[in-house]
Amino acid sequence: MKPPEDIKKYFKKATLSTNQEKHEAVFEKILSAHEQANKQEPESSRINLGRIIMKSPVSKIAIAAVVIVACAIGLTMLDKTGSVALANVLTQIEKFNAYMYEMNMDVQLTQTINDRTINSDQEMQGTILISQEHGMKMAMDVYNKSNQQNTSQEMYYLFDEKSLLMIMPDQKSYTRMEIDNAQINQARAQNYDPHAMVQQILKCDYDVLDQKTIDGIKVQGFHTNDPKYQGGVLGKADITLWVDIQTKLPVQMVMEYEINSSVQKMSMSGVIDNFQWNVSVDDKEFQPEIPEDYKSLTGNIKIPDYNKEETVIDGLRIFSELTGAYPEDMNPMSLPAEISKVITSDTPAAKKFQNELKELNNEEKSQKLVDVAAKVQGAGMFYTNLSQKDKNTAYYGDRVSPGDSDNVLMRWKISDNDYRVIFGDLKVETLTKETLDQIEKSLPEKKDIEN
Amino acid sequence: MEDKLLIWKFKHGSREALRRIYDKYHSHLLKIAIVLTGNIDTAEDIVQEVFTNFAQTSKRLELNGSLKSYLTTSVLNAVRNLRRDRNRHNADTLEESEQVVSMAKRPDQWAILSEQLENLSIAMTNLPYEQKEVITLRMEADMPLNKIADLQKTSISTVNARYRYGIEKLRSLLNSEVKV
Repeated sequence: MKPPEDIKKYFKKATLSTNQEKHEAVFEKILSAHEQANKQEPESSRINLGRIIMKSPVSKIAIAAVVIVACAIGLTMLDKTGSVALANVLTQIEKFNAYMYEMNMDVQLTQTINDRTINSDQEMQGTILISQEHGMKMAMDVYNKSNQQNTSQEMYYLFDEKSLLMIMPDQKSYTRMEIDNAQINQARAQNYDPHAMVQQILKCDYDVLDQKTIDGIKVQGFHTNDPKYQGGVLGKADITLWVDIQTKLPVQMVMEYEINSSVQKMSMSGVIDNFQWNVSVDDKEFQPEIPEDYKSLTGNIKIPDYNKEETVIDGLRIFSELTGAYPEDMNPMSLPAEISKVITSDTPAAKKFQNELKELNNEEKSQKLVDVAAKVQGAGMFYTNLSQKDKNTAYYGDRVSPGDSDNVLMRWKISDNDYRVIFGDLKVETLTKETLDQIEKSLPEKKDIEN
Repeated sequence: MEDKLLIWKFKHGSREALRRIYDKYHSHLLKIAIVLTGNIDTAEDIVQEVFTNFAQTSKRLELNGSLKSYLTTSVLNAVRNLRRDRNRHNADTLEESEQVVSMAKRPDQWAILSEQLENLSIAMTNLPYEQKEVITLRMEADMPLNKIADLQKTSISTVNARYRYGIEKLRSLLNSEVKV
């Protein structure tokens, strides 16, 4: 039998067009069915913001981290993928004191801590308002597919108050984190400073995509999946930014991330769009009122200054004392799962800590856990900060044990030929590249991971 | 990537995403429905029904494969259901559609067929339904034979045979129109 290319060609040529009037009429009926169905959707299954795992303050921090990073990703994409056209984009954005956009994200998470596996599958939908003057405000709906529950959250990044505030109306509770000037300035630089953005351009390989039309707007695409993106701290990243050719402003950003570590697998995918530029901001938008009957879950959380070396040492020390090991991964997205080991570890220090927790009321218990979590997260942020600055960082917590004075636990570059090195016994030295290379050659193999 | 994004937005209630999906796939689905049923009116009803059902299930929608494949399979199922209903009620079979395809066009008709599509649809009415399915899914939806075998709940060799016989018959029916 002859190959059916002839028939295939005939199929291709056999086309149809549509009567536009009828086409619109049919769509009206379909749309009407769509809207009717949405109205009838029971409240319980409506996609709102989600009730997350959130049973412990540690989890709350984990989710906050996800959201913060997601937002930062959205904005810092503008830092990192560039061309002459993107430089213009930055200039354009700078003209606006305030703007809004929408974000939809799916976050799938599997954590395995000791023998326990926790799965979470959430859809997040939010609106973000950025004010150069006041900070960032985010209203999020989260739908947890695992237990089909919805929750809402409001999150504020308040420059004046120097705090990060998360309000959870469903639980009538809130959490506040203190941030200092250095952290604010860093966030501003990362998010808004066009010079910092342009400087990042050369750090990523990116492709310029063909033009296309989104919602009637002609756009130019920029795509990167460079492992160097965000210093690699977000695992495998795949980012596409679409920019309005005429206005040089972002129209849509599509993001996918995969972060795998021994304790967790996280995949995030999402889209940012519906930008509104130059929105007017009422000061009250950034003066959140917390109702009197809302309780603070954790007291004020103070994230240590992640520009200081002591922060990473303190975080690693407290973690190793409580678990008998170092975190296997310093990725800020993986650290919450690592921190959970504190509650499940069998080490004498962890048992003592767990017994102390039992004596406390819920609020005190939360506060104590958060103190530990904040210190360990501070260590993670220290590492992330250096990675994002391209300081040739490395971390070997998956193979170096506490007290191991011969092996490198973490290192980062401080000059052309010099590195700061933290050893397994948490002593810190400055070494030349040659010396470091010699020491790293004798690093032990990775530990076997038990799942 | 675009479909993934569209589905995402659609599941979050976006009318624009629904519109984009409709614009993107209506021609493809209409063509499949017309070729399978040989009847423009029936095909239009089926495609409208598929899109309506799709629109109503937005938040419950769980896609394992591609959106195109999902919609194609929805059309296929709708055609099969219709055939089953008609056979049950001993009504006109879908194969009795040649005169319908060739009838004068109505002003409010949604699909306007090219001459080739009209001829193809007429030719296809002479094939057994299972052969029509295999050829349509392979030629128009680029569906692999093993997937078609899954859909038809039969072996790949049976699907292969249906494909071969169908192509030969179709070639002879279209005769001078296909360039060999």
